[in-house]
Amino acid sequence: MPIITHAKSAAVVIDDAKCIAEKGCTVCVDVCPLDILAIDEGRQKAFMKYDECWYCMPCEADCPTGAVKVNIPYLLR
Amino acid sequence: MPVFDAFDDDLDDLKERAADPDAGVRRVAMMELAEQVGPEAIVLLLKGLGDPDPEVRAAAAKALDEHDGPEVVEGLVGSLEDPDETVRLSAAESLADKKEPSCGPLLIERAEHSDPFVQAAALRALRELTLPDALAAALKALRNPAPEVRREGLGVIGWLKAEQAMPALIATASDEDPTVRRATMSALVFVRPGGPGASTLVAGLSDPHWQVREEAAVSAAKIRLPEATVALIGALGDDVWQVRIKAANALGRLKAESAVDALGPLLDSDIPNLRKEAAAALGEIASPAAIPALERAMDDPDPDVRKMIRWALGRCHAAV
Amino acid sequence: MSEPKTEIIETDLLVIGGGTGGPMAAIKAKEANPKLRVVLMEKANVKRSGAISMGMDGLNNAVVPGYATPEQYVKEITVANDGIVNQKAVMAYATGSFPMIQYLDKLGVKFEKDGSGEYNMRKVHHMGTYVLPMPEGHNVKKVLYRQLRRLQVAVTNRYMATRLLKGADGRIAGAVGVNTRTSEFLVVKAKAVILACGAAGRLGLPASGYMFGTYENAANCGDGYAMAYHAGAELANLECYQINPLIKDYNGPSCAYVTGPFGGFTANNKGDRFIECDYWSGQMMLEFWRELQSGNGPVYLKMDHLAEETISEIETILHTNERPSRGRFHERRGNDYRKQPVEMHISEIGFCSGHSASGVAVDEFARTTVPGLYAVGDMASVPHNYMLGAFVNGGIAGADAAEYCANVDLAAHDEGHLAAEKERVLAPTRREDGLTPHEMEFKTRRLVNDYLEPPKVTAKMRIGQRRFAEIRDDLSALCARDPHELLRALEMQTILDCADMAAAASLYRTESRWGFYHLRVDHPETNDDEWFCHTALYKDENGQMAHAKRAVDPYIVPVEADEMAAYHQLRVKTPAAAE
Repeated sequence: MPIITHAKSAAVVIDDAKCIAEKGCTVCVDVCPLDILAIDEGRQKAFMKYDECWYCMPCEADCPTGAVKVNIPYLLR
Repeated sequence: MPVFDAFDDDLDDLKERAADPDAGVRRVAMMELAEQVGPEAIVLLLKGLGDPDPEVRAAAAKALDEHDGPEVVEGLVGSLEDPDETVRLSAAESLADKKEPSCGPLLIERAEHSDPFVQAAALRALRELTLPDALAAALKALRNPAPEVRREGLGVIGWLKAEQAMPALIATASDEDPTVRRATMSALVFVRPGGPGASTLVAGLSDPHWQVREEAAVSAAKIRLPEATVALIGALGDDVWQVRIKAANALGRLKAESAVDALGPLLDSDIPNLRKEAAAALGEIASPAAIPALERAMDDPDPDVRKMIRWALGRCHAAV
Repeated sequence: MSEPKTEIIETDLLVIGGGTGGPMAAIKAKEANPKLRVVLMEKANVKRSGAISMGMDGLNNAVVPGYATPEQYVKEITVANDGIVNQKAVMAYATGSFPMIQYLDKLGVKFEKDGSGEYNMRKVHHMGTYVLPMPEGHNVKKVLYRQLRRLQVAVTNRYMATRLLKGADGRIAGAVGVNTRTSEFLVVKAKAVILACGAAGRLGLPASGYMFGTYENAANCGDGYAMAYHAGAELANLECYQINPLIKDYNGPSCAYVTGPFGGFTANNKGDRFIECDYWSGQMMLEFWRELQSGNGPVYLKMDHLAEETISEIETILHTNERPSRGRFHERRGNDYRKQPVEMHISEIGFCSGHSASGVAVDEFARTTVPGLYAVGDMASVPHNYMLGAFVNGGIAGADAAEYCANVDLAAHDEGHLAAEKERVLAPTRREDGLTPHEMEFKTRRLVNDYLEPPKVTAKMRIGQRRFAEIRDDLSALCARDPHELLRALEMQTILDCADMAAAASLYRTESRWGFYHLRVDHPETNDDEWFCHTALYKDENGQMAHAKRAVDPYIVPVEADEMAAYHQLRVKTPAAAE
């Protein structure tokens, strides 16, 4: 069967103005237990890549600039 | 990607980035230095504490939490006076985690600093070290205008279990700030029955603020202070039920037979937690005199209370 | 995807899982023998992995002198688990409990202390006092990581272990790992392996339908159970599920044991307490379930009767530790502890000895039935172990394994087995299209809810088994298009293994035991004559799932019959038709 994709809302939101990924920071990507965050190669900013969030918050707590906000995923909000 | 992630990165690369003209790059380098081991990383971080950019300094102060040694503590103590508040807070937080007795003198000195923030941070770090030499500074702190400094001073004294500080503790028991009075009641937990300070703890049971009274009851329970019995029985009628609960608990631990008559009526209270604590106390006291009151309460609507009553009755019957 | 590289490394001790018990095992092994080569393999990143990624708000099984004795603790755990316990293992935990608290304290973990620096113990259990709050317990992982760094333990992050390797003589020989970002293989040859992979927390599907909205860290999907099973180790009492009372929808703990000492309690819709004890057990879950069935639900955690000062203290603890996002959840809903109680519900099922009594069978040294293989933490069979148990048993395993390694050679693994495993791992990457890991996982877990949840019905569980077999056939269509999807595809297979084990174990024990955890409608009574025993589940020589009864070792702390009965005084008889 061919595979299709469908859209989801991202619970983890990154404030690009505060994110310092372009300076070499990968803290949020490093600490995520589910490995759902990544750095966008083009924009050099972190983003939520997979809708697999446990809303555990190390990404937010460890971000040095306060750029990450973890919202509760919509299905259980 | 290297198989082994941590602890063996290339320090040359980090050294370069720590000296980068871009403050953002320097900041990330400081963060990564938390992962390194050895004196070279510490040197770079201590240098970072003097960076012109406050965010780099804060990152260095935070990273030094992961490193040990007297020079680390010395650096962090210096940063308590950083012009930037974030840096000061990071330094204080990292400092509180250190348990290096050799840093005592430096911390004791800072406990008498002019800035209350520095004083409180130094006293907090001193508390864990329990150094007898810190007592004088802690006593002085009790006269500080800032309540947080007085509270931290009480912490140092309590952990030292310093009986010679008793006159000062008696004084802070009537401090104008209720949080300081509460901290006093908490520090008095090292008092010995019949010893100095016991009457101060007893007096705390009639403090105007309920959390002070509650704390006094908790401390009296822990040290099983017999001279508190009468005041604790009085506290069973306190306006605040949380105080009544703690008083009941204390009387149970004291095995105060004289409290049985006063505890009985609490089994009719509207508050299930209080009924449960009263039953538990009667069980601890285990006096046959409590049996009628407990039997009357056996059909309590709350299963948790019923369980406690059954347990208490078992103990009272065993005592017959 | 081009064929991924394989790197082979050699070590003395391999620890799989860098959450709670794993790091402590590595630390204690290294402390026992600083020359020992120790590798810690972690699927995520050791800094923030596992059940306690955001710390912990308290200990609820601390055996501290002056408040409880090890004997008293062993007795209570025996009673709470209907007598089916290995008391020696529980005793090993109980005696190690206080030294471990002191050790963690020394390392910098913050336990609540009173004004004179003594541990501030609180009462929750009805016999002894075991609760030690940790209002500033958010730094536990940081402290562990610092100690791993000091001892120079080699850490491999982002490698998922997929299978254990064994030598011809049956000894452990190492493990196969796959990088979750590159799909490169890492083969670790080791004299001993300690499994510390956490619970099987992604077994049932949360009622919200969100696959990762689990109670356990969703990375803990049961890898350890599957690896131990395929290596031929015995797993004990898997039918004793983990089911927890949780904040509805949020599906995380409300931490009644934190709020309890402050005066909070679980209440029905009339605001009345209906369970005797807020301590989690199968019996409590049965009372909880009955209350929901009876029409007295919803069930709440009630705190609105507490003083403002108390509530803000509770909020500080609950919203900065363990699961801090519960504060954000309440905020969005407009839930205020001061104004209304928090709605609770019953979680989906999982395996976790931390809160129940199932797991890879281990003795008092954390040894499994496979030589050189250890298991600790939520996945090992020591009951009601919680965080402190993971630390203590991790430490025991580390020290024992260090000694074991000193006396054995490296076993040679079977190359054919390794090649086959690589092929199994990579199979989903060899397909252009097919079924996605997400949909296959979702379906497996939905069927777990439909057919395996208690009250357990024989006919339903058999249907469940047939449906799981169909999914297993569908694995031939499982497709992973990148390394991340491969990670989920491998996890999905682990989950399917656990589903099969849950069904088989539940069908084997033809009685009801452990309250709601193993409530069998067709066998409603507890039958001590036939079933006062552990059940062992294992893979036999033919590769089939097999079962056996294992005797409960003679007690080292005697428990009187009336003490056992006292616990069940409130037990309500099983309803005839529970459906």
